[in-house]
Amino acid sequence: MNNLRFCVILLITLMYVRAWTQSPTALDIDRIKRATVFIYQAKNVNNALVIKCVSSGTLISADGLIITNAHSVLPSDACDGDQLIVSLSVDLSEPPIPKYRAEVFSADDGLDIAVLRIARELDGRLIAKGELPILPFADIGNSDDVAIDHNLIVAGYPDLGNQAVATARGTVTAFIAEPIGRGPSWFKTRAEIPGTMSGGGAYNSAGLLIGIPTSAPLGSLAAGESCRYIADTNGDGLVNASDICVPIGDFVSTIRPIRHALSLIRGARNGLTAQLISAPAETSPPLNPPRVNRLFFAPSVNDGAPSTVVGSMPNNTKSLYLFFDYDNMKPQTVYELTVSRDGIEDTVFSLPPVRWSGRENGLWHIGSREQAWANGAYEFTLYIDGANAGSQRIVVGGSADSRSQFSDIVFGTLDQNDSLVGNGSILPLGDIASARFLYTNMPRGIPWSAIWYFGGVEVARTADLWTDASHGAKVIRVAPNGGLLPGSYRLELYIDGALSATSDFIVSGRPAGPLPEIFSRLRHAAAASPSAARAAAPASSFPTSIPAIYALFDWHQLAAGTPWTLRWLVDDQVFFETTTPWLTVESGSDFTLALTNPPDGSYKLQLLVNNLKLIEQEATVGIGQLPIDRLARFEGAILSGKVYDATTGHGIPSITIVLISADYTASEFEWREDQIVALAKSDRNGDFQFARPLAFDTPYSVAIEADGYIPHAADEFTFSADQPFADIEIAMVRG
Amino acid sequence: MEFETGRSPAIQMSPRQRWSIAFTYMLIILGLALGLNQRDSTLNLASEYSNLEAGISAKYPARWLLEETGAFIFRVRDMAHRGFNTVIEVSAAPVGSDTSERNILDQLTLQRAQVLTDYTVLAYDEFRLADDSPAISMSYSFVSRDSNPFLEGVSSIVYGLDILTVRRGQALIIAFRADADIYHRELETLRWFVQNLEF
Repeated sequence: MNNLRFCVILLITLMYVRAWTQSPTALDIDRIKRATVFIYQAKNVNNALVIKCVSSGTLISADGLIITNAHSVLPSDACDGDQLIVSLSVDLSEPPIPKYRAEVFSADDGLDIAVLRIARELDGRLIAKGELPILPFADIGNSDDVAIDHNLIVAGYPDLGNQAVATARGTVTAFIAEPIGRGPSWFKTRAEIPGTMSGGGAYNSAGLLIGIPTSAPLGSLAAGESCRYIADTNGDGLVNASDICVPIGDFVSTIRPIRHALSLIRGARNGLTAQLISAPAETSPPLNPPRVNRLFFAPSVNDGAPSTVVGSMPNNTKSLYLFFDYDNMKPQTVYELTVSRDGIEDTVFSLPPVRWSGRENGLWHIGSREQAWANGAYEFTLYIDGANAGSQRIVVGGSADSRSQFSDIVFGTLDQNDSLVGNGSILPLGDIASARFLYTNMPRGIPWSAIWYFGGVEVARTADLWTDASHGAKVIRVAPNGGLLPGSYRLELYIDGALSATSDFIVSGRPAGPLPEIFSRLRHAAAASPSAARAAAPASSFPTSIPAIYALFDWHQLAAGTPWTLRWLVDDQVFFETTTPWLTVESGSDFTLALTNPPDGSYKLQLLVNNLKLIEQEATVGIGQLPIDRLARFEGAILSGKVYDATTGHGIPSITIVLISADYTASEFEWREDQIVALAKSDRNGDFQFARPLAFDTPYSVAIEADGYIPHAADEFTFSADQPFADIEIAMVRG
Repeated sequence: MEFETGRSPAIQMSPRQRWSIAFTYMLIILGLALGLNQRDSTLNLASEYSNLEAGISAKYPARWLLEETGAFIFRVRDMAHRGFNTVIEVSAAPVGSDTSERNILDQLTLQRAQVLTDYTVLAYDEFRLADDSPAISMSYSFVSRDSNPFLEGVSSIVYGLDILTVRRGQALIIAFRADADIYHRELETLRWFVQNLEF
């Protein structure tokens, strides 16, 4: 009878597949939660790890890349830890469990984005390449597709690691624009997002990561809502205000669109790190306190400059920007904008405390477009590191007035036909700079003036009565004594003593027709060292597995402090972009950059000034195309289950389950690596899980051989797209 | 009343019946022999591996998983073992004119100490290969645990033995690792593997 029972068990193999069919939305949330991690930044103090800062984060690749906020992981005054501990939600209904240590692969302080890489086990052991299990991760979406009123799901940890991963739902209520690249700089939402969820993920309704909830706690913290005392860090036997307070930040209402993180993510996924070898060491941060001045409004932005300057806006205003000059700012500076309408705070257009994403000084703007501004008297107030730094008022409402106005300033040089030529904002060295602007509703005889500045110092001024027509375009010029020197210039146009238009331009480079030649001889080379690269012959193709390729260029009349941009692309996708002030001599040769261990791909290097691409050069490595990452997207079913003893019903630990490729049946399996899709091992309860997702509608087979049990095999496992999770129960018969 | 005692008359079998019984026994014995032979064949079946590029050929136990992707020339694992899967891994390392065998083993130790829990070198010994050429061996132990963070993995104490020999300007390392419970039994498999390894 016993034998008969065993035979029956053996024949039917007792393989039972239970697929959970869930609605796509519910499935997305589980997947989102699994990819959400909790991060401790800790410091080793007397051989004990003391928690300094916490944040949420999101796994964005199967091999352990995490995206989060920079302010809570990079060392700073408020967060001076030197270790990053990553906790995972092993059970989605339980608080996270510390599992790994991570290191910062790349980060942008100002954008407040960091990409971490899981590098060590929790005990500090290095994780060898390929040894990290394939982790659940979130798919990256397109933040450019997000529109006002779109639904959002924000995932993160709502407390200091005491609660399970949580999600908050909301909608996008506004876009905030700043001069940090294309698209919105921030999404605003009214979703209830606790401060510790900062750094987590914001997802669209399809479950794709489209942003990072971001809020920067102020550097100086007081106990209360924004920090917690959680451990006896001074060893006095008490947990009180004498211990280290872990900042948790206030509620988050801003989301950094994922577009601003794409280059960091791409670089990290491909292990690409660019070095500016010739760049001088970073200058010390400004000693003077940050400040802002010259606050004014503009209805639109042209290449970073205000189209015109306004003191009021009419009914149905849908676009408004506050401009201001800034000095002594640092990436760690926290700034905030509060907008009030008729004395009541307007949370839609306000920006809560966030990291400064601009340079040390310059012209900045913040505002929005294609969003209705209700009529009223608005007051915009800027706060720097928590202190009021300046405010400006504007009235929205009434009919469109017909006031006199200058607008749309562009710069260049005049050709033989007195036409303005050039690229609009960069002029080569010469004697004369010209500016063209539009004017409207200008009555004859009205006083107007133009003031030219170089490096913040007035160099020329003209004041006159208007004699031209009421509408049209006008060209004015300046010829400073000694010619145009390299550096930053500004033109301000006034009508009847009021600022009406302003714009900045740069003089740099030697003349090459109407255009400046700032960079030249951009080339690539392979060499053993940077110094050898300078003597090496230029090349445009390099072999696979080359340790480093170097890029070199010459530069001409580029004044110190002039912002320039280095952009590196692989297969036409940006993986490295930095805009920094030029810090070396005005002219020189062989500025050297390095790209270490580049994978096969087509690499393009671009140099820009004022967002204008001035030169580019391409080089290929290997086959000229990035390797295909089969795990780049998280698509497929997660297969888990339990192996148990058919006689006792108890789970069997440490059994290896082999998942065989769709190209083979179990009977064709010959124990070759190329026939295997994945391996899993049962834990102490007999539970197992294949870490990598399995393709939908693909027939898989399973094989198990275990000492003391009859070998076991089954064919034709398929999972349809509505079965993202499947559970298998396997009974093993002793024999 | 008299009772007659004695044996009942014997049943007389025909020669044909006798032969039938004999054949039946013979068939049973033959079947058992064939079964045992089949069992032994299955258990002792060997698979063959050869790599012309590396100049290596080997035999390894059948139904062990063969892998060639990784920082080794090839490795085979006994996936049927519950616990740490016994593994034999063959790899090569470049050798300089000043590099000693101990240098290579120490380098392995430094690398492994970074990634293996409680990695401890136990002993160094001499080892004789199949052609009686000398090699050096290093035995060690560490703790292995399934690394899936979402499961309650079970730790195993693992013993390892590296056999290192230097030939033609490169070091060949045969790394053998097995669960501590079965290490000494599995050493027989290693010896058989080494006997059949050609390089």
